[in-house]
Amino acid sequence: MKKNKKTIVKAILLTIILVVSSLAVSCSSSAYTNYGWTGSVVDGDVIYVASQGKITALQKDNGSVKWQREIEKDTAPSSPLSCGMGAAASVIYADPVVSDDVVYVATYSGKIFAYNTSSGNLLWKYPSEGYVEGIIGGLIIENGLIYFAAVGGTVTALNAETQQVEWLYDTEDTLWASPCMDGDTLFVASYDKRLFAIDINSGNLKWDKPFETDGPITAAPIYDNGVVYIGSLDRGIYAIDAENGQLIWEFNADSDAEYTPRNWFWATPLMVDGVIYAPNMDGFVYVIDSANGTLITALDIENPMSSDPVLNEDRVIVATQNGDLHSINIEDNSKFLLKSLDLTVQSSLYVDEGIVYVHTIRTENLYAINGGSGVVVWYYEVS
Amino acid sequence: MDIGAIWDVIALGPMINILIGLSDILFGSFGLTIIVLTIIIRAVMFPLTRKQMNATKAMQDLQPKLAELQKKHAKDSQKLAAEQMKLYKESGVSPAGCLLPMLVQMPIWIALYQSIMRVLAVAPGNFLNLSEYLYSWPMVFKALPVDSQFLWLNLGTPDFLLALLVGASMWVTQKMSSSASTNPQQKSQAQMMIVMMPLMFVFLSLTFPSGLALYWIISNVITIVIQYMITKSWGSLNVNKYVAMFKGLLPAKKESGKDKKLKERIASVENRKKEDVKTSKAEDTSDNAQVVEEGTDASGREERQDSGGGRTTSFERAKQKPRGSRNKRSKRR
Repeated sequence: MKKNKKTIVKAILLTIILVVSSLAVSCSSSAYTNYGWTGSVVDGDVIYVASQGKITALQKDNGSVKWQREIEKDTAPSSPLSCGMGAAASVIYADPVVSDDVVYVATYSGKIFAYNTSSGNLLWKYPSEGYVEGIIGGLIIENGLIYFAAVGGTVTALNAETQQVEWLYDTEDTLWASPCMDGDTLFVASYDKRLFAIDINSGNLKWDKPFETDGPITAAPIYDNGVVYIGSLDRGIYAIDAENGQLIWEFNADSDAEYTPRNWFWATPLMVDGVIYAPNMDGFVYVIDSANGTLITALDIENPMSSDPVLNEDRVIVATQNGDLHSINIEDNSKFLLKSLDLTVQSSLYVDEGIVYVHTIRTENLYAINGGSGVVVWYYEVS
Repeated sequence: MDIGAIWDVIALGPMINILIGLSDILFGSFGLTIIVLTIIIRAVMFPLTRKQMNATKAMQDLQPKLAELQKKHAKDSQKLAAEQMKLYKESGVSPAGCLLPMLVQMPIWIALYQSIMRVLAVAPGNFLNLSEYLYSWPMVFKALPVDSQFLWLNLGTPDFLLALLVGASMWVTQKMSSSASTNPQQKSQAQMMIVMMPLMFVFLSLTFPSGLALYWIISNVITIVIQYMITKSWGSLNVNKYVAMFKGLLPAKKESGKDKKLKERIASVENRKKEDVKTSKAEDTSDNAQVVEEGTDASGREERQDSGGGRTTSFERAKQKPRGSRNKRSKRR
């Protein structure tokens, strides 16, 4: 009888260990942690950086803190058995945006916060109670309206003064990418492979039907001279007529070509003087002629790239996920390693007056790096 | 190369690409993909499963002999262990053989769980990691994003009903495979496994994505079918009892005219039988009376009554004997 009891106790202990360890594996693995990433923005002498749970204003010349505010914690309901316990720090993917002395931050849980740039005081939050759908792509602010695409598929024009919805368009797709605007057209790319052109005056579709690729789109579209360019996870770059949504050309994976994209175009490509610089997750930057989609060259950076590149004078700066910054000369497409940070970089880069700002994740630091020499001017430990 | 990288190359990478590639073939349905993948995995593992089930059956057949050994060497555990091992060896049974398929499936579960979490990631932070596992098959890039909706399920999140189904199917497999041990300790262990395993899997299903729970259910159903086909029995699962219970839960069936007629016929046959029994009783009583009258005293009568099982009483005889034989006896008389 005693033996039986012992066996039962042993088995119960074993079961508890199994359950607890499986829970620990499911919750602790970094692969499943939603940490978010976000870039920074400069306005005047101040750089604003959003991080998990807070927004910080730093003096751009030395990195000293001007003000810092905690962002309201997420209380969005979750499963009772999920890893999250109660309120958690807000996860942010969208870059902060500054307009008319207000800095805006959008969270993944679905809330927009507006802070006064001078005092850091919270001016308003939208919605004041509860949440809209999560926001991953950035905000566009134009003529007093805030345009944003939410994960659930809605594109919204929100009045920045009154926080009233001017119009709302439901794409019925999942939206991760930042929208892009030209004149009175808002271009919105979806995770469900489509590109929409929305008339900002009416909130209606401009084209007969959305343009479709073969893969999800996570990069923001770019507009140049009547053409919209998008990178897709189907390993292609597409040029689309902005007027009617017709395909002009596509650059896609071709097994016979010497250099062909072997992975996703996650980051937003950069257009420089009619040439597209498209970083790929296969570790190459594909340099493409925007007139016809032919490959000019493919630059081997050796590591996957998911952050948006920037132009610093005559150089394109790209960052790899493992924290290497490379500088590419747009004249001859020569490249060199600018700086190695040995930290994860996934957020978009920002450049202002020759200084490249890099926000690293997991270990959250903001680096101000000289875009020519690669010297770290200052860095700030965000977390 | 560290162990994590090796795992990614040999398990996680293939699993992710097979899942995405299959979903492209199966109309983009990730639920259907998991079902087909489960069937493929179980088909590949069939020789192993058959071996396990044969081993389980052999173990069950050995139970009486094992019980004998336990009785014989109750006080000498070392001798008992040695004798048990000898018996296993002689019978060609390996106790570990019962556990092997379970152990082989463990890496598959882990790889499947990790794949589902990556393929069905709802946040960019998690989805981005998927890129490093993708092969350069064109279909893999075109099949994304996969459809996480299947029936009422979001395969990326846990589901309560599916967790209960996992528990129920796991309970059936446990019941079917548990042996009727004569050793009380083994019996209590088996009983505990029957309860604890389903409970544990219910809890895991409530924690993990329902895609993994779907795999467990399909896998359990396949196990039940294979087990039944190999052993030709439901093991310690009393199917009739549960069928009766289930029938009891159902509302009573309305009687048809045909049923009524059948019932009436059965009732009339029963009544006729009862009447026959009554008649034979009456005849036997008169027989006994005659025997007593023909020269036995009171003590002799008591003796005969006390003899119990030695001789059946005439009443018992009447009950046991068919109508034909009673008629013969009457004729003799």
